[in-house]
Order: sequence, then structure tokens, then C-alpha cells
Amino acid sequence: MIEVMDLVKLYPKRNSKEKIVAVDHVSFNVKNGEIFALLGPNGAGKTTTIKSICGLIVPDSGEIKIKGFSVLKERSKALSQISAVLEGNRNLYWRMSVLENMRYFAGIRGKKLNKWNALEILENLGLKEKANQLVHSLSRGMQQKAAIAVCLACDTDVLLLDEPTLGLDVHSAVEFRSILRSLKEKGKTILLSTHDMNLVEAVADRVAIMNKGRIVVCEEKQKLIDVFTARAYKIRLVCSEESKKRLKELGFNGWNENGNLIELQVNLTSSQRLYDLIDTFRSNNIEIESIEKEMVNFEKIFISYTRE
Amino acid sequence: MWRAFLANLEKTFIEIKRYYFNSISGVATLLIFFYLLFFGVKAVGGPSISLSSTLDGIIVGYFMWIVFIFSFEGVAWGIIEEAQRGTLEQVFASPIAFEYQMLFRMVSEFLFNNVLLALPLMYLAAFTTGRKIGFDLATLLYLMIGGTVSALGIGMILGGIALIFKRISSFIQVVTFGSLSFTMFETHSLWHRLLPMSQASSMMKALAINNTKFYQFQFCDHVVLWLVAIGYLLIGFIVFRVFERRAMVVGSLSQY
Repeated sequence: MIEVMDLVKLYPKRNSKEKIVAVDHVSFNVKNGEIFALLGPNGAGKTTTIKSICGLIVPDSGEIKIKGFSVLKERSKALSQISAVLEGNRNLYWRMSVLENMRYFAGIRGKKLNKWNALEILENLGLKEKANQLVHSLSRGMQQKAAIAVCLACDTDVLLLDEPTLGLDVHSAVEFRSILRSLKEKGKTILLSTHDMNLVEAVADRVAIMNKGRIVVCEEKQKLIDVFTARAYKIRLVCSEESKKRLKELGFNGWNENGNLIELQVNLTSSQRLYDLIDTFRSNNIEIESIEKEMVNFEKIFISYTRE
Repeated sequence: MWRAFLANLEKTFIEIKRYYFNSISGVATLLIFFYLLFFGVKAVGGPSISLSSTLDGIIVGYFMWIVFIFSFEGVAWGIIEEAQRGTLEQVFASPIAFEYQMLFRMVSEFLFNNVLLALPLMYLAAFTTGRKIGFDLATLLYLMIGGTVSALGIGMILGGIALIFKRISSFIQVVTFGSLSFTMFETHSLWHRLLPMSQASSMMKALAINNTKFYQFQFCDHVVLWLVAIGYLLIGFIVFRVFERRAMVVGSLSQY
């Protein structure tokens, strides 16, 4: 559905001839009917990637195809396949009603929006009563929903959502997740860029984590969780001062301490095995009190991939 | 394309209606400015000179200036506002190119601002200052369209500059007041006639003072009018494309 191939984007550095690498040879593809999440810390290159897909930024090299149409060479055909929610809730005309916004954005894409279709979209999003209300008078959550409604009014199979839950309260964020799930059930393909780990955990099928302009991992969400769950352990050790020094020498740091009891959180790398670790402690005379498998959430996975 | 035009037409109408205070105060400002100009000229000229044609010229010249600034300012301010609001990128992401969206907006604004606002304003200004305007409406509209097309080209250039530099309000003011010279003064040389709106303004004065119909103008007048109009529009499109491309390369479309 969406193919991003070897995308590179450099920005000129202010008052310098140097360039900043915003996106560094990024490749991924979004399959038909899936929710694909692009995750990364600030400045990772997510928004540049999304905007390149929307044809708002010209990449230095690489190729982007939407349903087989090149964004760079067949811009109009490619862009008619997608609709996007950019800039959170700022992408609507605040002095126009929800319905007027829907009609306008569908219209500038050359599409006629039937009033009944519009009301059906709004009803599905729980916004029917707000159809004629000006956007500025809506709550942040409602505005975000209105942005989705505008996106749906454009009647495309692919939706691009840039930071869709930014600034939403807990209730709105939860409601938003169920909206995304129901859109997926209706066959929409969704590419979302977000910081919101809960959203990713709840709705994404596949996840690409970006850091410093590169994709550090691109995998099915469940596989990532399974791999991390298999590798994450909470190990309690009984340590003397000497043993603590030894632990530091072995490269362990950042543990919780309670008297001579130490709680270590360990993420095994793919080449490490648990019994190797146990051997290391044993050979260094560090007493193991207990070993527990740790429950992994997406936040931990994210941090482990984006840590310096 | 047609739907995109209708969408922009509807949006322009909604915004005029919704920002009615701004629309009304804009009209009031233009009228006050006109009276200052009109009575200023009358006071300076005094009773000793024949002011008849000069005053008619001022009314028409001022009216053409309004048409001109409405046309080009609309685009530039539109881009600045959209960049501030955050809607600019959303419009850019449409499969119908942004230049066309701008063109549709300009045509919409021409219809609402020039035909529905500036035209009655001119009659009101003439009526309240004791002048009588007996124009041929077809010629008037013909010249308005011819003049506005060149103004749209200037609007596209300013819009392109706004995409890169964002804060260009001072520059817009310079162009706004500089454009007085294109519309208010007599066109003596070919160079002057090649300035945007200048030829249209000159023909409009002939219409106002001598009631010259569009078919009574010389052929070369029509040629200059349309060459200038299409020339500026083309230059506007090209310049806009260049700046738009630059903004997309440096990623500054939505920055403000």
C-alpha cells in the first residue's frame, strides 16, 4: 500500500554549509488493512517521513509509492490515494463548522461529499450533534475527532495520522483507540506517527522505531513484545560492598538497593542466555536470591531501542 | 477541478460572513481613506482649476487600486494566515496542486470582494461625493477582469515569497502603496503601461470620463491589456512554483 524505499532527507544547518540528516536511508512498507506505527523520540525523523509521504517535503533521495504511484513523479495520483491528519488539531479551519470543514477538504480534493455520508461519518465518531458547531468551540478531543472526520470525508483507503493523540486526556485517548480499531475493521490502512506507547500497544499491527533518522527496528508489535518478554528479567541479588563493586566492573549499573539486597533489571541481548548470566554471578561470588520474568510494556521496548 | 473551485468559493463566502466585523471595518477604512484623498485633492486644487475630470479619475483610480490590492493581498495574507493556523499543509496535501487552489481562491475573492464589494463601493463613493458614474457595465467587468488577472500574478509572487519568508507584511504594504502609482496616475509611456493594472486603469479612466465602450478602444490597447495580464499571471505561476519547490526542499511549508 505504502512503500518507502531508501528515503534520505537532509536539512541545511543554519548559518553553516553543513547539513543535518533528518531521515537516513529509511525503508519500510505498510500493508493493506494494517495499522502501522512509526515510533520515535523527538527529532527522530517521523514527521519528516510522514510529510515526505504526503508530498509536503521533497526528499534528497529515495522513493515513495502509494498504491504503486510515485509521490515524486505521479504526485496527483499518489496523493489522491491518501488523506492525512497533520499538525494535530490545528489542521482545521476553526471558524468553520465541522461539516463545513469536511465539505471543504473533500471539495479541494475534487470530491463531492453527500450530506448523509457526512452525517454517517460523524455519527460513527460520536460527533453528529456537533456537525454544525464551529471547530474552535469544540474540546481538544472533539477537534481531534473532527480532524479524523475530515480525513474520512476524503474517502481514501489510506489514512496518515501524525501525532493523533497529542494533548488528549485519558478518556479521549481511550476513545480514540477504539475509533482506530473500528477504522481498521472497515478496511482502512493506517500509518500513524506517535509518541503514545499506549496507543501503539493497543492498536498497532506493526511498529517501526526510529531514532536519529534511522529505523532501528521494524517488526510486528506482538513479536517485539514476545522477544522482549522472553529476555527481560528482574534478578534479586544479595551483595556485599565488594560484590557491588564487582557488579559495576561487570558493566551493571542503575539497580535498586535495599540494604544488601539489590534488584537488577536485565534485558538479555540476542547472544546472551540466562544461564550465562547466572554463571557470571556465581563465578564472581554474587549470591542470587530470586529471578523473575518481567512483564514488558512497549515503553520499555521503545527505551531499549532508542537509548543512547 | 470544478468541485475544488466550488469548495473554495463556499469557503470564501463563509469566511466573509463569519468574519463580518473585519469585512465591514475593511469597507469603512477604504471609504474613509477615499474621502481623505478626494477632499484632500479638492482642498489643494481649490476652485481655480477644473477638477471635473481629475475627480472622476480619482474615483476610478482609487477603485482600481482597491481591486488591485484586494486581488494580490488576498493570496499573500491567505498563505500567511494558513501557515499560522496550520492548515497550509493540509491544503498542500491535496492531489489538486496548490497553485490551482490559490487561483480558485483568487477568483472567489474577485467575485466577492471586487464584484460584490468594490463595485458598489465605487458607486457609493461617487454618489456621496456628488459625482455621477454612468458606466457601461460590460466594459467595466471586462476591464476589471483584465486588470485583476495581472494583480493575481503579483499575488502569486507575494504568495511564493510568503512561503519562504513568512513575515512579509511590511513588504506587502510597500507593494500596496507602490501600486498606487500603477493605478492612480496617467500612463504616458509604454513602460508605464506594462506595469500591472496600469493599462486596465488607464482604459477604466477612459470609460469613466468619456464612457468609452470596450469595442471603441484601439486594438493595441486590448493587446497590451491582455499581454500584461497573462504575462504577470505566468510570471506569478513560475515564481510561485520556484518558491514552493524551495519551501518543500527546506521543509518550511508549515513553519511560521
